[in-house]
Amino acid sequence: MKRLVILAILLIVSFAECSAQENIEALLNRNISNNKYGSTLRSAIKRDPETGEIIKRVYEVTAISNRALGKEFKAAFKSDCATADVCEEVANGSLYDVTAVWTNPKRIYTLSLNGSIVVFTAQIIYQEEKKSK
Amino acid sequence: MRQLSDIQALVERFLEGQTSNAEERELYAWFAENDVPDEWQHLKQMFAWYAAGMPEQSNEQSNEPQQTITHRPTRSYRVRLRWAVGAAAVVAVVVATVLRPESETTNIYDGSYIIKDGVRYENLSLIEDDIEATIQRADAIEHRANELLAWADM
Repeated sequence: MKRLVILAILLIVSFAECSAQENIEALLNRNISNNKYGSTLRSAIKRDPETGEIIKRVYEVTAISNRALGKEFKAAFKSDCATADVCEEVANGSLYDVTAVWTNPKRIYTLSLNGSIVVFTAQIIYQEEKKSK
Repeated sequence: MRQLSDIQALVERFLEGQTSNAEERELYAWFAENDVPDEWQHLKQMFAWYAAGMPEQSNEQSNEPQQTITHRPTRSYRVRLRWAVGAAAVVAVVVATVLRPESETTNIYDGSYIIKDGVRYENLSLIEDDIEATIQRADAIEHRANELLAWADM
């Protein structure tokens, strides 16, 4: 019985790890592969100047006048924030900002919406092991 | 039994490093067993030295006047030389690679790209400023995230 409980806990933990940012990631991947929203995607890589190893990978998606995409990202954040190590949500009138952080590996996701002008900015940052000098 | 002319040709090939091991042993034996003309005496000494396994000679042990003998590089020496040259070349390439300034060859934003209106831009000379600004925004977000993590730990 004790073994079964331990196994169940391990399965729950591993499932949580696998699905930590799955809704946000799915939206991002769809946006990268299918640019139908008329958005701009910036895929930025920062490397160690000495070794050339990747320190940080950043995806930034910006779309103007696309309420549908904003709603989808917001829903994805609402869903995935439950598994985040830290999740900060700030809503002020038509403005909505959310920051979700996962550690080990460190991932930082942000979403900023300005409802009336409909500007969406979603940034996903992959923090590599090596720190910038 | 080889004629002197054959031996002379073999010696010339030996000095050029083109003889086989069998031919070299044949030369050692021939010079050891035969009387040779005066002008070949230095060759007889040389082949006797090779046949004896190239022993080191000290001036103190030898009372004979020193002669200048044109030594052909031995096979093992040539093999070692080839290995040494090869190893030196490898070391030179490795040192050049390690000491090469990365900044001259690697852009710290290498691999970045932008997709705008369905068009993908990868030329860093055109998009570098945009990518740098993106990284700076990301750094600011990371700073904020670190603050949130620190507060969460408190």
